This record gives sequence, structure tokens and C-alpha cells, in this order.
Amino acid sequence: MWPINLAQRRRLKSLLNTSLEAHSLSGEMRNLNEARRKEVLRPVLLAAKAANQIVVKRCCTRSRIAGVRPDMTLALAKALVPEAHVGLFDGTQDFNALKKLASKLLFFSPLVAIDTELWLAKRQSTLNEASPLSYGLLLDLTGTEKLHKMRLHSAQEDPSEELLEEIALKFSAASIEARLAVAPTIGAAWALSRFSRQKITSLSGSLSKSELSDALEHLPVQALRIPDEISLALAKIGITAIGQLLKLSKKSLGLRFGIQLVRRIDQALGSVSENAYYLKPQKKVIHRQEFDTPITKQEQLQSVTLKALQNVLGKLAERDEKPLTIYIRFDGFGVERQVIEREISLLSATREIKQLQSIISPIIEKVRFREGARSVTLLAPQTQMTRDKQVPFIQNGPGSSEEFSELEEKRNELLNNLTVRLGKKRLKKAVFNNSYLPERSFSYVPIDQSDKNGASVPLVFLKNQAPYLLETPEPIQAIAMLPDKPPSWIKWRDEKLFVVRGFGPSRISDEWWRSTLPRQDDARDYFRIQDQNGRWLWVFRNGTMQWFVHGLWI
Amino acid sequence: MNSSLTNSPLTTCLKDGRVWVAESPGITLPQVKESYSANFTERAPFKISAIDNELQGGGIQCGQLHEWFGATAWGTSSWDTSRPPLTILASLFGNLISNCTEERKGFSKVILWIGKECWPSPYLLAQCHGSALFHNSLLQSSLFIDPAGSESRKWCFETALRSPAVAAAVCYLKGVNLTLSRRFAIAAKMGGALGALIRPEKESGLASAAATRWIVRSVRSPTPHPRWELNLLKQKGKQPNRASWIIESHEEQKISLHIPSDVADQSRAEEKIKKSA
Repeated sequence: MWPINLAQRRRLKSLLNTSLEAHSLSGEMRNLNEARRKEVLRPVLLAAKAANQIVVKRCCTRSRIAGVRPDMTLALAKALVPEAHVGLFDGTQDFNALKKLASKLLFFSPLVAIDTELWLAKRQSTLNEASPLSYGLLLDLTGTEKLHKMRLHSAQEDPSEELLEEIALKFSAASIEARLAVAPTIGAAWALSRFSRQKITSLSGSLSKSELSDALEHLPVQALRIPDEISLALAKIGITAIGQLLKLSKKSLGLRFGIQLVRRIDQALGSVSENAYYLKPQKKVIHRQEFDTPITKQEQLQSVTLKALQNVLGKLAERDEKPLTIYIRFDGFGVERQVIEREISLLSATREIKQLQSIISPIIEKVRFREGARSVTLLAPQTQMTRDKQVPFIQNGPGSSEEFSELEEKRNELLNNLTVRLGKKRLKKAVFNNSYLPERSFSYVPIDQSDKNGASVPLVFLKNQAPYLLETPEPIQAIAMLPDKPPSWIKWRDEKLFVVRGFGPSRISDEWWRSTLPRQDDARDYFRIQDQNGRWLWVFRNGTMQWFVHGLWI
Repeated sequence: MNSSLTNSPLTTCLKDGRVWVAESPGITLPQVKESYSANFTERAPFKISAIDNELQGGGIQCGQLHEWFGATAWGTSSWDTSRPPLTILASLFGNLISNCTEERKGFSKVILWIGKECWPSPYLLAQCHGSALFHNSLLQSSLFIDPAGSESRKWCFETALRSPAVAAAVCYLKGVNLTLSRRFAIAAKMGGALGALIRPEKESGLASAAATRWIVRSVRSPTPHPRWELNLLKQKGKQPNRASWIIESHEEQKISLHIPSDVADQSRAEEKIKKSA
């Protein structure tokens, strides 16, 4: 991405700004809807940890009506809306989703930008503190009118309204709550998209400065993208709307409230230029080869794929990239027009042709054409930048850094091999979670998942745990002579076990803060018992006096 | 060394002894390489001298296939519940890593646990070797794989053994015949990984190409620590004087295996077991 100076272009601009204030919420809501379709939709809160307490970062309209406000502690918010669903707020994840959305909007304009404030927050890695107002996208529609007119078969001179409706429809189809505004300056478009009463506002066409200030004058001063301190200071002297501000002289405003306020006014009215960080659309590397005569032989298919792969890798190398996903498509010959598509997603990007070949050739081996293939297309939809490392000059025996990098390469090769054959979800790593309950205290997560919730170090090291835990505790029959003593006899998986030794109980109480139901006494009493054959088991009795086996010492 | 450098004038000078590696004065490059390879054989010792002395190479060697018969089963015959001896394996692998880190300054290979039956709790791994903080601890090097179906599991085990990036791989498989076990053994030899194949106890009579075969049974312990009887059924190349031991796992700060003091005289322990049986 790179900043473009808009003022350098002389034409009158038409800029579309979309406000996606509820961006973070709608993502969570979509997940929730998919997970629990049957359930009546509950209010949604997104919370994150801030200064040793969990605070609400985003709240939906229903919870806002109930009195929940951002930066309120979660405990207080849950008291106001007890039925609310609480999700984790993750600024980085939301930013990435927004970026993805921006790349989809490239369909409407070649210049799509993420809000500057948000972009700066990303740079300073303060995304979690970014205001929801800064979630938005900017599209420069200047000069695209003719194209859209042709595409939409519009009879009007300016098709921007039809275009806006189309974009709004696209957003609502994807259940994204968006407010749209078109204006000649970035500042005005920002203000109208955030604070206008209508969901869609259009100020396109030739507008003079006074017409623009007329459109903005009823909006609150916050619409000028000024910090809260300045808007509070303005409110103290009774200035709440932009119209009031515009009547005052710039000089006095600058002296009293700082240069930022004056710059923001000028930006909104177009007296001063403004930069935006536009996304850089990148062309995908693709190689397509058509054959004069259809090819059917396995060796030929292998060799053409290898050639295509070499070609794509060569093109990627020019851009300092290596493929992470490879997509291959064979078009068949004849009446049937058989199409065979394969997508290979690797765990770690590589440009080693031998490694890629060893992964791809077993896949090509299974490709069968009745009437031969007509063409092959190979492209790399996902890529990664290469970071070249300096190779050490002299090897000092095993353990040197060169051997490590070689091992790393071999490890990546193995992981790629396993991923392509088994799928990413079947390769797991272990992470610890913040919980006391044995089955919740750790989890096996896909290897490429970032440690968002889990950590590689346990928060509470639960000692004396069985080295192997059953996936879910299995119910057993048990006889215990005394309530707080280990059982003397159990029956598990049709086998009767006589307990010869037992230790316990050690009590683990239920995590009441997790359940939405009224509190139940679900404390577990864990016992470590040995049966007549010397095998050790980890059993527990729950609040309803039922016995379960949870782990084994094996 | 980089292949392009192999025949360079510098390498020739190094070979001739005209240029020395700065870090180890007096030793030329080929000597350095040889001395490393001569002293270093990757192995996973029990760190119990009574057992390690009986084993070829002083431990469970890498680059070989080792079979473990999970006799610690639960449930009647309708349940297939042979269990891999996870505590013993995890502590062996912990010893393997600490051996590597002592001798070679670093460890960057991976350990694969193939099949959900063989997934130990991360607490066990964290207690067996190293702090969970370090990237080369047993837990951080471990990778858990869940292949669908036994064919996929076999492929996965073989691929893992063949890769030089794997230090050890554990897999639970039923119905492994001699041909397949030979394939695994060759793969392990090629890749240099320690292959731990877990099989049901009833298959202990079948022929196989494994270097060692072990059977592990739980035994009653008078202490609060779990105890196992370890039987070495077969070892290629060296006939052990004794092939049966009783070991106990202690879990204080770290999990460690010991021969319990009350059965330190193993012959008496064996008599005891015979009597009790």
C-alpha cells in the first residue's frame, strides 16, 4: 500500500465512504448464527482484556438499549443483559477481515482504501483500542462512471445512485451492516457515512464549497474526525454542530483548539488535500498451456504440469514470492468437456521444485481422462514473500546453523506432505488454556492456528494429572463405602475392578462464570485408584454423585 | 556443506590441513566431521544403568524400529483397548532430547504421535523434559497427528520415519505383517528416526523386523507411584543377561523412571511375582 495524493488530480472527485461500525459484531453474529441456527438470536457483546479487567469493546443495538456501553466492565454488562452471548474481541482478526472485504470491493473501483485512522492503529499495533467509527472503507469512484453506466445499462448521466444501491444490496446479502456516502472529499464522505440520518447519502455531481458546507452543517463536530478532547472542549463553549464551527474564524479556532481542528475542517471542505492508503491490487501468477492434440498419457501430463510449475515458480521468483496454494486445472477434450481441478494448499510456502513435484505428482497420477486433456492451467492464488537467509560459509560439524536450516527445510517438506495428504485439520499441536478443569485446561489445535487463546505455557500447572486423558469422561458404576473415600469397586467397560489402593479426594470446582444456566454445584472429587492388576485410573464423582473415569496412567 | 563448495579450493585446503577451522584449532574439517559422527549415536536411554547396560548402544537407538506391546489394557475382549506405554515413551524421548542438547547444542527435530490413542496429555510432556517455554522442549517438538483409517496411518508412519526431520514417531497399528514391519525398519534406517510401533499384545508371537520388542505390564505397587514390568522379548545383535525389570515413575518436579528400591534385587522381585501369580 502507498499513499496517493488526491489533490494532484484536477478533476472533481467522487469518493464513496462506507462505514462498517458494526464490522466486528457482524462477524461474531454470523458465526453465532451458523453455530446455533435454531436458537433465538441473543444480544451479542464483544469483550477484551484491558488493564487487568475484562471490558466490553463492542455491543449490539439490543444490548445498547439495555444500557450497555463500550468500555464497561463485562461483569456489569452481563448484569444488564444476562442472556447475552459474549465473544472475544480481536482487533487484528477484524482488520484482516476488513482487508479481505476491501479486496472484494476492488470490483467497483481500482482504488480501495482502509480508513487512515485504522491503518495507523494497525501500524502502531493498537488495533484493540481503535474506535468502532474508524472501521470503514474508502472507494475512489472518480472516472469509473462510464464503466458502471455501461455495466448497469443505466439511462442516467450519473449512475452513482444505482451503483450505491447495488453495493448496499451486496453488503446486506452478506449480512454486513454498512452505511454509504458519496462526496467530493474524503472528509465529507467520512462524516456523512458515519453521521448522516440516511443509510445511503449521495453528494455527487459538481458541488461548490458552500453547497458542501450546507450538507455538513447539521452534523455533529465528531464527524470531523477530531479527538474526543477537542469535541469535549467545543461542547463546553456550546459548539456541537459543524455549522456553528464554520461561522467562526479559522484563526481563532486554530489558536484555541489547535491546528488539527482547522486541518480537519479544510479537509472536509476540500481546501486541503488528504492522503489515503490505497490497497495495491496484485495480479495473480497464472500459466495456461493449450495442446495441439489431446494428451492422455500419464508421463505427458506429468511433464506438462512440471513445465507449468516451473513457469509459475519462475514468475513468482521475480516478485520474490513463493507459492502457498497451488491450483491446477485440466480441461478435457471431446464432447464431455471433462474438467479436473485440484487445489493443493501447503502448510509452509516453498519454491523447491523437487519438493513440490513430489507433492503434486501423486495427485496427477490419479487424474484420468477418457478423451485426453486439451489444456492445463496452473496458478498460485496464495503466496508468501521469500526471506532469503545468508548461508554460513563453513560448516562446523553437526549442530551448525546450516544443518538447522536444512532440517527446517526437511521439516517443512514433511509437514507439507502430511498436510496435502491428510488435510490441515489433522495435524495438531497442544496448547494450554486458562482453565482448571482438566479437559479444558489444554486442547489440541490445528498446527497453523495462531495461539490466540491458548498459550504454550500453562497458566496453572495441574500436577498429578493422568498422562492420558479420555476424550470425554466415561460413566462407570462404583461402590464407595464412605462419601469422601475412594471407591472400593468399579465396573468400567464391562470389566469389574477391585480397588486395592486409592488416594484423594482432590476437589476441582466448576467454572461457574462459564455457564449461562443458574448455578449448579458441579464440583468434582478426583480420586487416583489402583486396581487388583496394578493399573492406575483417575476417577471422579460429580455433584450428582455419578462416577466417571477420566484418565489412565499408562 | 554446500554442494558447490565441496570441490572448491578452500575445501581442498581444509582437507590438506593447510587451513584450519578457527573454532577448533589443530583439527581440520574432515576430522571434525568424523569425530562428531564417531562419538555421536542418537539414542534414547532409560537413564537406568541396569537397563541401559543390557541394551545395544546404551539405549533405544534411533534409525531402528522398536515394537511395544501395549498390555496395559482395560475392558473385556469386546473393547479394543490396548494402551501404549505413554509415560515410558515420553520419558525416553525426553532423555533423547536432553542427550542431543548436551552433545550437539541444539535440537530442532520433531516427535510425532500418530493416532489419537497415542496422544499423551501435554502435562506429561511438559513434565518429562525441559521447560515448556523453550522451543526445543519435548512439548514444543511434539506434533499430534490424527489420520483417518489404518491405511492412512501406515502411510503417515512410514513417511514420518523416512524424513530426516523426525527424531521419533509413535504409532498404534494392528495387523502389521513381516513385510510391512520391514518397510518401516528400512524407512527408519533411511531417515534416522526412532520408530516406536505400538501393537496389541496378542500379536507378540508374530514375526517382525523390529530391532527390539518390548512388552509392558502394570504391576501392583505398594507406593503411590505407578509401576510397570518391562520385558525385553527380543534384541537384535546383543543377547541381554536379563530381560525383565520392574520400573516405577516418580512425578515430583519432573517425571523420571526408577527401579524401585524394594525390588532393586530383581531376582527376588521375579520370585515374588511368580508366587503372587
